[in-house]
Order: sequence, then C-alpha cells, then structure tokens
Amino acid sequence: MNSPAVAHGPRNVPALLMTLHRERFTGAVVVSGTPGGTLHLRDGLVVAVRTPASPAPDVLLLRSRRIAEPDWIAAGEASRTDGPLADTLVALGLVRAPELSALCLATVFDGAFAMSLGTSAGWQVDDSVPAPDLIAEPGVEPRRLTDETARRMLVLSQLWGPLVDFAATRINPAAQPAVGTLPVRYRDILLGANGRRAPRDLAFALGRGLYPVMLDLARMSARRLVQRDAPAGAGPTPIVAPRDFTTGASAPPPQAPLPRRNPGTHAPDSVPGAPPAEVPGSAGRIPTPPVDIGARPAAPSGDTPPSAPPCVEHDLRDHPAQGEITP
Amino acid sequence: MNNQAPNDAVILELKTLRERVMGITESVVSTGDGLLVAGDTVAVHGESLAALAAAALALGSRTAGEAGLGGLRDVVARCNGGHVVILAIGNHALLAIVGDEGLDIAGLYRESPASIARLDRILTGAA
Repeated sequence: MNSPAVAHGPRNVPALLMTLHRERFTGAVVVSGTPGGTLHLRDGLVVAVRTPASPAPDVLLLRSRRIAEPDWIAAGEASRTDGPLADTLVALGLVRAPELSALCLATVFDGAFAMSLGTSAGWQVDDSVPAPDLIAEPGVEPRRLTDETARRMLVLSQLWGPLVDFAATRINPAAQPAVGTLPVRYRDILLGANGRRAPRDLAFALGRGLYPVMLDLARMSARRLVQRDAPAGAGPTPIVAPRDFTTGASAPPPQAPLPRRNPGTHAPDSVPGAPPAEVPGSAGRIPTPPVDIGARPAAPSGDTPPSAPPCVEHDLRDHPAQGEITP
Repeated sequence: MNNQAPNDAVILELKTLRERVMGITESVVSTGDGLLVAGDTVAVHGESLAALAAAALALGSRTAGEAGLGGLRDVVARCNGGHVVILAIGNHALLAIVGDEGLDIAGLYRESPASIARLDRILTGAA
C-alpha cells in the first residue's frame, strides 16, 4: 500500500486524482461507499473505472451480444498464453481495435459519472492493485474526466431533475406507449423496464452505459413513454407461497412459520413454464448526496459538445455507422 | 415486529435488501430442505431456485467439512452473466440471491447480516 497523496490532504477524489496525475502515479484509488468503486491509473492517467454502478467493458461486450459467450471464454483461455486479452480479442477477430479502444474509453467516463451519483465514505491509494484486462490507453486526464462528469450531471439534471432521485427511480413503461416508430434503443428500454429496475439495472440488462441509458430515459420521460415511479399496487403479485401448478394459484399461507418436507409424500410437480410471479417497484433508495468526483455543474452547455468523449451517449449496438461497434 | 403475515414480512425484507444492495435482481427464502417460503422474483422459477440453493448449500457445507475448513459461511457462484449467493438463515432456512455482473458484493456482505437476522426472527416467529 502506498498513499503518497494522502499526506497532501486532497479534499475529495477529483483533487486526489489531480495530485496523482502530477505525481504520474500508477496504481489504483479504491473508493469506499455506496456503491464505491476503483479508479485505475497509469502514469497519472485514468485507464479504467470499475464500479457496481456501471457496466464494465466485458459486460457491454457480452450483454450487447457483440461477443458470444463461448468466444469470450475462448479468448480468455487463449490470452493466458497469447498475451493481453485486448490483443487476443482483436487477433481472434471478435472486435476491432478502434472499437475496443473506444469502448474502454467510454467505460472510464461512464464509471466516473456513475460513481458521482453515489456516496463516498473515503478512499485508499494502492499501488499494488493490478489493472483490469481491458483498459483505455493511454488514459484520461483527471481534469477532463471531472469536467465531463460535471457536464453529464448538468445535462441530465436539466432534463430530469435531481439525479440522485433519478438514479434510484424504478422505471415503468407508460400505460400504452406507441412503440411503432420508436428507435430500437427506446423499445429495448421499454421491454426491459418492469418496475423493478432502476436506470443502472437497465444499463446492465441491456448492455449499455449508464449515462446513455439515463439520457434516453430522460428524453423518454419527456415524451411520456415511461413512468418515473411505479404506481402503488401496480404490477403482478410476487410469489408468497408455493404455487398450485394445476391452477396457477398460490397455495394458502402456511400455518407454521416454515413449510415441512415429508419424505415419501411429496411428489414433484411438473408443469414447466409456469408463469413467474413479479413484484411491482417499491420505495426507492434513500436519497443521498452525490460523491464529489466531478466538479459541480457550473454553466449550461450543449447536449453533446464537440469536446465530448467518443462512444459515450449511444447504444453500442444501434449506431455501428458511428464507428463504435460494428457487427 | 408487526402484524404482517410471515410471508409478507419475508417479501418486504427481500425487497428492502434488493433496494439497498446494487445489483440484486431476485431472491428467495427457502427451507433447509428446499421448499420455497417466499420469493422476490420476476424471471427465475422460485421453487426450482429454492430447491437447488438448498442442495448447493448442503453440498458446500459437506465439502467444507470434508476439507476440514470448519463451518460454511456462504456459497457464491460466479457466472458469466452474474452471481448466485446462498446464505444460511439459522439452521433451518436459507436465502438465495441472484445478482447481475455488477452485484455489489461488498454491499451485500455489509447489508446481509442484518437481513439474515430479521429473516431468522420472522421465520422462527420471534419477531
């Protein structure tokens, strides 16, 4: 463990990153909190951000079906002897080098943005943490990262409102959305929104970045395609007891706290495909102040300024012509 | 605790855990021998998950004992598409959690002990 910057007393993560940038630090900043995450640096530049709040490159590649699972496993095995995973993926023709580079860069910005929506309980600077397999090279200057994070927060807050509430909102599709003419991205979101998923959950389910999903949700909300909060009592009832497969109805609540298995008397029911129960969304997470990973929004800016990093606001599957991911 | 029926209280606890830990998608509470008590599910088949989780927990416990590693803490299955975490509730029940690839494992281990304790009280009627 090495914590050269702690002695200088940076007041927050962006200040810490600036210090580490000046010191050309190589290692990781492990941020604890909800959800927390790890920022990986090389020579002072941020090369990767891993957090439970946003999908990593492998999640984007697999969930978007850009790379099939067997191919991914094969690439992982080959990389043990053939070299870095990124090179192996390219060598096997599973993804083009520029696409992979853009993807990794996008996850750096997306991860920083996602962490900014949470709360930080502290950090540790550790030069012994190895970098992930897929990183953005050469990396992103901390100043650019914090500026872009602030810009994203400003854009979204203007479209939606308080972002902490937005991040915790369980999304429901509108009652009767007109899906016929909608972009594929919007339709995918409507299909994935079930009243249980917050924007972060949709991002993972769809294999897209958190920020582009939230941007789409904000625009869809303006078009009344999605509901911000699950109506109380809406949606199917969750499983509360073993079902009677012959009728599809739930069995009466057990009289004892726990059901008992009686050996020799419990013949297995076998009606495959019985409809799973669902639960409606419920109260959101307790709103908490955001992590100060990015500077606060200072001035309005365009939705996508020319300086915006590439491959960050679009569905990787739906915009092959933009040079991000092509089949 | 309150006047809720046991299953309603279990459901509420599972939903609360899902809200508090990033990445949890579904969960069930099962008896130790695999009968579903209640589930907060949408895609998985609750009864099947309950039965398999009970088998996995028992197998893990026996394996840990055979290896001389003492008591089992939990069973974690890391999959290409996410995680399954199985935690014992006392000696007679278990909690099976399904999470996506980004499941906040640290958050789960931070939040789950209190949930397990509450579920134990609900299931044993001590609430």
